[in-house]
Amino acid sequence: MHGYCGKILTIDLSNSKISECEMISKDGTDFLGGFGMNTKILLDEMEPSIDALSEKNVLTFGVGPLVGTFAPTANRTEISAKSPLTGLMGTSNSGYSWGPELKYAGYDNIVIKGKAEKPVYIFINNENVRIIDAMNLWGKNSWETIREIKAQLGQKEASVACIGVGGENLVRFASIENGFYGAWGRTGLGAVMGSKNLKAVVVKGNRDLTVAEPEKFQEAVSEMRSSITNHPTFKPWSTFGSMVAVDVNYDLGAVTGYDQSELVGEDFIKNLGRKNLLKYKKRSLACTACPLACSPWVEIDEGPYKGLKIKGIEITSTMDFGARLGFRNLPAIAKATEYFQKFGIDCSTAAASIGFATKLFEENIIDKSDTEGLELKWGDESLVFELMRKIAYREGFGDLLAEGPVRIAKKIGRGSEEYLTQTRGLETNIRDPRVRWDVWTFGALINPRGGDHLRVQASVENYKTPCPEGEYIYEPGLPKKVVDKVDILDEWKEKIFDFEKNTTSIPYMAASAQDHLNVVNSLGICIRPPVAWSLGPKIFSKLMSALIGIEYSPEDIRKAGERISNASRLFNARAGEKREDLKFAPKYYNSSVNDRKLDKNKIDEVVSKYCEAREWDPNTALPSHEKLKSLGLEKYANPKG
Amino acid sequence: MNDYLGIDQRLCTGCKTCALACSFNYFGVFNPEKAYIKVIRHEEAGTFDIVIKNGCIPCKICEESCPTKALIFIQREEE
Ligand code: SF4
Ligand code: SF4
Repeated sequence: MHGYCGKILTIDLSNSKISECEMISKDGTDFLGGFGMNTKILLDEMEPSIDALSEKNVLTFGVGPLVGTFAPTANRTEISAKSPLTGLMGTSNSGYSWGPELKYAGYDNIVIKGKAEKPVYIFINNENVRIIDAMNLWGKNSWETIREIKAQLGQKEASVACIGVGGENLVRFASIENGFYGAWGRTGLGAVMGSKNLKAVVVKGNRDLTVAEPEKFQEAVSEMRSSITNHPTFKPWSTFGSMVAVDVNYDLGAVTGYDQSELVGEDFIKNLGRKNLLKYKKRSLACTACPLACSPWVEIDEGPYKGLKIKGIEITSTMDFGARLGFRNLPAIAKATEYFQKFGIDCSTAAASIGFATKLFEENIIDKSDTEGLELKWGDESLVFELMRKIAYREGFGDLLAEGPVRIAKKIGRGSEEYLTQTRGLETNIRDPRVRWDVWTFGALINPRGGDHLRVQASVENYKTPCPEGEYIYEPGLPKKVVDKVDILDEWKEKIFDFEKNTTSIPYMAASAQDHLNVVNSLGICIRPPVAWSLGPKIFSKLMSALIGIEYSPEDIRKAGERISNASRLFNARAGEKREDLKFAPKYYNSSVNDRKLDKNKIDEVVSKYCEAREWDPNTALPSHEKLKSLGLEKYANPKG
Repeated sequence: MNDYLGIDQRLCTGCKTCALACSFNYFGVFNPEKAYIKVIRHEEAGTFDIVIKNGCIPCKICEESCPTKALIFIQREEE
């Protein structure tokens, strides 16, 4: 099998059983790989209603068919399981070297089941797979863990996915660290590893990865490369990395601060805008096969954090610690980055837990008797770092914060749930839907992993015209010549764009964008705008046909994305998410920011329209039996569907 | 004339595209360990070493594939 290794490795930690099975080629064609294969594996291997921290949860690492080749950014790995934070599908994507290494070791997916009796880690060295005692690593932070594992195995170049103390202590938003500076951050997958007594999964391989039609593949990769490098976002992203989007979102008027209570002011952009990064950025670093190299290596040579050298000041951490918590200098955000990486906790939910508590403190809903005497206030850097430590070790007040905002509200009561910014269990960050209603913010309601912004983003959007207040179905349209350049199939362009009325349909674009990003996350390439926005079904069909040697039409690719959207919705429905749960946190409907709040009924109409776009029943948000049959998913039908 | 490959470490991002292009061109497969150019990432320090292995012609494939022009193909007169 070209492109794929054709093998899935299953490890049952309860009985140390290691087995291999062949990937059926139809599964590859239907679900592509990465996120798609993970979704299929979870539906096949577990009951979505189980307790996410029980040994019944299944943790799967999926690497797409392009990964390991030199197709630009083909380095991504998706990890999925049921989320202990949201109760929905937990899933997260990260790059660098782990994915390519797994392909060179000969596997497309790893499936981890059960629970080890004592702490262990897994070492995959080509077909030699070992479960190794990790007692001496338990209690170590992720950086120490990586150093020790590499030394112990004598494998300096192995790739390490591991948990820090956050995962060991079952912090509900613990991350899995991807080497020193990356992470599968969202939805608490580190806690799933911790619950299995699994400290790390280490890979090293040197097997060949083959291509069905090398010349055609080379051609398709050249075309892909020039689409990416010629995209207007390429240059700014290679200069500023993701920080470029801090200014973009600020200029849109979309960023709110202090746990999303008010619009951020000029001091935010003056101190945290992208230009500030260049004071500290020394060079650009890339994941494997990436021409963009979006990660900055930063060195802090002044102030209280002088001497800190680290990869990555990113938009997400800037929004989490800057907008949400009130930090106003990038070195402090770099320092926060060191902490969340070493502890192995997700920066967004960590900041959201602290932000929520700070907001409740400000509103006198909690006081010092709840916080072990700590006075919570905005922008207090050392207090935030101390709280992150307490979270990771579940120490004192940190034990409550480690449960995440939704559970904090349940525990505290006193009307605190009105202040939550969590939609479907996950914080909606970067853009506040009240001040910017568009495909991106609507996406929080349909994203398979809960209310964040990373799984439903349009490849093209009108940044210049503000969305008119009160309009929910359409966002401002785009000129035909702009749309012509976007790789979306014509049939869908007709449904999405109306050039006469100058509108873009939010529900139709959302369905199309979600399917597209599913494909991106399944093939194993990066969702950064110069990549995801410059590519689509047409180029993917060329790449896949040449790589695998099976003809993929652009429609096959689009349909695979649609299949994955349907499958992930089935997972969530079986985990208990109902149509009426597809709504924002109450705060967005009840309290205004800049005189704007959301209209619940109108948003409900958008959800119904989205169901229409998907040919789902608007009352259940579930596909009909015919729909499932047309996608080959009938065996996964929801019992109630 | 005897050509050799110059490496500008400051421009290298550690992407390994050069090694992948090399192995694909000479062996028809992707396998960085087979490539005649090796990129060693010192991940914690954020630095790289590039080593040219025995067998390198040099042929310009890696230079052409490098997105940052960190590899420079230098022609030198024979002494
Ligand atoms: S764009 Fe950035 S995150 Fe994506 S593959 Fe390249 S270096 Fe990695
Ligand atoms: S292709 Fe260029 S930037 Fe990438 S690792 Fe090789 S020399 Fe460095």
